[in-house]
Amino acid sequence: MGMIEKKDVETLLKNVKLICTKMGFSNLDSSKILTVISELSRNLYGHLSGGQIILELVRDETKFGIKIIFKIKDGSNKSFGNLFCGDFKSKNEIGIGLTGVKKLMDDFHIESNDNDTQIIMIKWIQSEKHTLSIQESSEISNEIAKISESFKGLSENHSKEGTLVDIEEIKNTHILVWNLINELENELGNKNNLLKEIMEELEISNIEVMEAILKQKSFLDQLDQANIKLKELDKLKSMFLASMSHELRTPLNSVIGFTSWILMGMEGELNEEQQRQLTMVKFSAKYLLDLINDILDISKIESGVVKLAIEKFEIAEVVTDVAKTVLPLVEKKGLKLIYDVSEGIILNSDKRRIKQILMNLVSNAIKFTDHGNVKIDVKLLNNKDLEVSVSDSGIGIKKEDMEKLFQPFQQVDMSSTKNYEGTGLGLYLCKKLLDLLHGDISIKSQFGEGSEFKFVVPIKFIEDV
Amino acid sequence: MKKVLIIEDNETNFYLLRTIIEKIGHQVIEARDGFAGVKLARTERPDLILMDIQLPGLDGYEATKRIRAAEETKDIPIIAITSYAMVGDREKILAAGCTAYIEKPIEPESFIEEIKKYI
Repeated sequence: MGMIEKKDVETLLKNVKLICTKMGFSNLDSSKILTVISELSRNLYGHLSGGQIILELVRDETKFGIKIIFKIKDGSNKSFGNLFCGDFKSKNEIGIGLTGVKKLMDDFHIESNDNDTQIIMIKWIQSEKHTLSIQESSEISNEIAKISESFKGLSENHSKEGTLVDIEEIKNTHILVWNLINELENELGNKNNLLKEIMEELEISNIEVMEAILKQKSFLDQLDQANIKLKELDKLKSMFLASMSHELRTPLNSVIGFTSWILMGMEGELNEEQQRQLTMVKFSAKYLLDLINDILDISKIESGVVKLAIEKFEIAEVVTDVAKTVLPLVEKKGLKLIYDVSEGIILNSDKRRIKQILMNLVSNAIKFTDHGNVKIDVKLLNNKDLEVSVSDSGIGIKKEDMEKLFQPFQQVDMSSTKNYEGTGLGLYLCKKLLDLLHGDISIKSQFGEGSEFKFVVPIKFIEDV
Repeated sequence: MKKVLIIEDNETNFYLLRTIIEKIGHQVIEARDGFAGVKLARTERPDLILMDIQLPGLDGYEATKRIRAAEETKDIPIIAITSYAMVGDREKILAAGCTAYIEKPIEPESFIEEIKKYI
């Protein structure tokens, strides 16, 4: 065969295109095949000492396709390595190398011995529907054989300095097409990879989130259980206190009863010192009893076993009762007790508890007042609530101590040299009782000038549903 | 001299009550539990019953109900001696049929005053 001109390659590619169409390759696949052949031709002449391109029709049980064999005469040619690495660049910098070719084909492998290297590639038809008749098949085979034959000389008769293998122009179209597709594919691939990475990361963080949720859930479960346990323990504590209080009270009742009896002189006259000492016994016993009673009350309220006894009563009655009870103490301290209650204010609440609260506040007022007066004021608010105020001209309360007031066992000014009697539970109990009665308590005080405790209760207690 | 039945399980408390009652010149009959109390009320027909509420076996509420239920004892005044009464206890005590109640600790003076209302 003589010199192969540019048109020979053109013919080759045209024919191959024809074959591809006939076989039913998609446009994209056809482009890929043409690109491969262009590339191989170029490499064959541009870099290697020549060779053969063989086209074959191949088929197996399920599919068929085109086989391209690239035969290089000198298997030891150094340039081959470059090509294979994909490092090759054509003169106009468009080159895809063998690795590029590999990507375009379905099957790619290299067989090599000392004299000869074959790169064998197959492109399968992607369409499932397409079948090829025997006639079509043999036609294509013939076509391929013809092309193969005409190009045998390509390698044998040409030096690489020849002008005939300038196939760049021809293949440029295909390369560009392929590059475009390749870029798109790359981009898609990159995006796909990115997406995949993101998905993987998401999956990992998802797992982490799930783990965190599970951890949190089990933590919450533990908290719940601890909470239930705590509540049980708290109830147990209150029950224990309630029963202990009863046990503690019984002997105290005797102590107080007998002491009072003896102090009355019923078992013989007492001398002054005996009287004094026994009075101390009685006083201490009473204090202890108060403490126990307060604890009992609080523990009952806290364990939720307190039942209110709601009844209709006049607040004037309660105030008068309290006043009467404390009057001896007030007089003893040289104080003045002022109380003015307009009659006719009827409450529907727990009389005993209201009295207990008032008694507590009034006792406190007397306790912390050495000069002046203690005053009880009662008034109706909006015909809905009753406000009871207990004010005194006593020592007052420092601002920083105010918030401690309603906490248990917090007697203000513990460091004071003057010791005020009291359990330190009174106000705490008042607060608890007022909670029960749907009321509230507040305080105003000027240190050194006196205090005013005010509590408000609904005149008509309505039970929680 | 009147007959006072004291139903009280605690020895010390009983002794205090007995001391006071005897001191003001009355006779004391003692019972240590509810069953014995109900029985003695029937056989002895006391003029006054002092009833502790927390009693072994038959408690004060139940004992009171039984005493009230029997024709021969239904009119005997019963004074309940209670520990620091729980809220609702007073109502329960009065509902059971007690005439009055006195809270512990007993203040002899006011206790005597109260007793004198019935005997």
